[in-house]
Amino acid sequence: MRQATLLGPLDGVDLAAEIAAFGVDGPVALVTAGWEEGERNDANVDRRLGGGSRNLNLYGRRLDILESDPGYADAERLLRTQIDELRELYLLRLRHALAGLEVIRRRFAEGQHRPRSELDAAIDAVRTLDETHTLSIAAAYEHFYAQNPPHERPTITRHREEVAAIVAGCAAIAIAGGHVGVLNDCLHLCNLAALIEERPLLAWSSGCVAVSERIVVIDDHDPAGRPDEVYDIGIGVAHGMVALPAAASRLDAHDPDRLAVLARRCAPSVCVLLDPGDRLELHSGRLADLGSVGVVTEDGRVLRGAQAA
Amino acid sequence: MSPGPARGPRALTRLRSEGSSPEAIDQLLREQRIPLVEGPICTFLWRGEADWVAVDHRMPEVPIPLPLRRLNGTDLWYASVELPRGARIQYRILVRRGESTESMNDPLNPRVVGEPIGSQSVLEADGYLTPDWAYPDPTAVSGELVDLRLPSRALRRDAHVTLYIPSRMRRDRRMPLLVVHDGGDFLQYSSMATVLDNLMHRRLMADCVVAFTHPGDRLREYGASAAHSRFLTSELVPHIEGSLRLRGDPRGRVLMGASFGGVAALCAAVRAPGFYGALLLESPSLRYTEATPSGTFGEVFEPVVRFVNSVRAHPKKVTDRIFLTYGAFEPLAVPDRAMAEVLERMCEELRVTEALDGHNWINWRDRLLDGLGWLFPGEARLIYPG
Repeated sequence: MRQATLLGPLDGVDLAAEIAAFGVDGPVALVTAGWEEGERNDANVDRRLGGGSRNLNLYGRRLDILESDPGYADAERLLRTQIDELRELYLLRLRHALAGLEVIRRRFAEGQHRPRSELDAAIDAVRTLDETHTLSIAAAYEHFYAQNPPHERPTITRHREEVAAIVAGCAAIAIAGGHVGVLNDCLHLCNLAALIEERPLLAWSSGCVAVSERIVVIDDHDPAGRPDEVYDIGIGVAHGMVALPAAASRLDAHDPDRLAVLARRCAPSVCVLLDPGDRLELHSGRLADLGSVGVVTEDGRVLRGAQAA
Repeated sequence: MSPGPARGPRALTRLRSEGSSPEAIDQLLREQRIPLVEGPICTFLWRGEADWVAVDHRMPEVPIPLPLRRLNGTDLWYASVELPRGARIQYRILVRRGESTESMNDPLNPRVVGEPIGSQSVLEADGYLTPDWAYPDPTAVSGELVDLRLPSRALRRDAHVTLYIPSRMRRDRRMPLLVVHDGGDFLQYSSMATVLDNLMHRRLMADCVVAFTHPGDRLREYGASAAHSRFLTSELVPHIEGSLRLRGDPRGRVLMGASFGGVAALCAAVRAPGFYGALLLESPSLRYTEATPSGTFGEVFEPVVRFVNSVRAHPKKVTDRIFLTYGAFEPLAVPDRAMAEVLERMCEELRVTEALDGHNWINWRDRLLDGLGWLFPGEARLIYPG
């Protein structure tokens, strides 16, 4: 990936100007798979991109693949069940590990000495859980793809070729937000990572999450009370960062202890808060210009742009 | 919670200072929402000639019934209580004239709620808000309600079940099943179809198929009946799982019930350990005895008491998760609170919510997001603005 611009949820941002800033000429390949059934309701975003965008229709293609290839659909359903079970166990262990961490933090909160080693150990335990879970998901995917090679499934191959042909005629790729899990599944299925390599990328909202290496989900208002979790593996074209869109409404930024834990769990990747109006640039897949984006530090602060750099 | 201060609150104080004329009372009743809610102080009012007037209610630490006092020289009666923020009370007015006592909804309060046992007036304390997901949302696509008659050998009757099929079918997922006791009442008095439409539409809970069961002889079937447990586990659940595209594993089966329905849900799980992944119990009638003689709670409760006593004696893990909720303003709060530690030993994870409400269908409706959102975690947190 030559260049990428990542944005928070859209506000009044001029998407056409963002594409123009890449210095390329030609249509934009558009991904709105995160909108699920509303995927083709893209007239507004097309206008904002300057018109003439080519929607890759990844959600529709995925439905067609599942409909046309029942064997693959069954296998993928088993994979989802397996990953759901992995996630349930991970969340169960994670809750207890985070509770343990909180106990240690409180125990030493008013004490004379800082609980450096104890706290480090408790955070390491959480990091180990995150890491183990990520590896388990990766292993499940690897096994699945080994058993069901996508390039041997005619329907998948056809759709991948069609997508590649459309992208070949486009100057840039734009990935919108929506349901990050669905978006991620569609990006993987149509192998977008390989197509993004040589083109500039504009992504916003959950589009920024899905192009990262890890999908980390936070939501302090979750009715199920789930903790911050590593949800899935993204397509991994943006390195060294964990994107947290709509952070202002999802994350209590006034709790430094919680922020510190989040930052240390994600390290060495950097947690970037992407709210409406926020913008950052990547060069060759790595953070280049943070703009005024908020970055969570390991001591629990949110620093902006240059401060964070 | 306690009876309010002897001094009348502001509106009544003002009325007194203005002379408590019939016209002033008319104006007060016309302009104010009755009962008066002034911060934490709530004042019941009734107007008319009577020998005695009281409020029939279930508020703890408040006399039952709560007598109203007559405002000197007027036909206005009043009584104040202090309620915590967000509380909700159902009540009726008792009026005695001579030998006859009449129970009525509060004629000064248009807020009335329907219940299977009749209607009741509603007092919403400061801070209570009806959840927005309890109202019909025109943007939410309604699930389909399908009536089913299932011949049941266990119950020796045709069982009537209303199936709720969610509007959104995902081809790559199999949905879980929720079985709801007193299905007709939950649909009618708790607007549960609307709630499901909204919670699923907003992804606050996962899409699931819901089987609303309708009891025959309710107190017998739900009162720890082995036949009812057999019906659920051997007939109803296999039938639905066999005919629809469902998960069909313990994690995909949840039993729910309120009051006696909660007993029936727990009972079925105890009789089939590991078959159900979770229970949602709302104000379950978990009556038990320690030293009190049998028969304390009446004949209807005898099998329930025997069942609960046996569970308390030897609690064993029967399911993964239990969500327990009850109202602080109901007599069952005491046994349900005490049963929490027993239920904790019957599952891996217990979540308890004590609501500032009573034993009623609106309370049970208002707790549905907490319960269903926990037991069927939704995908709202995966969805970001476009």
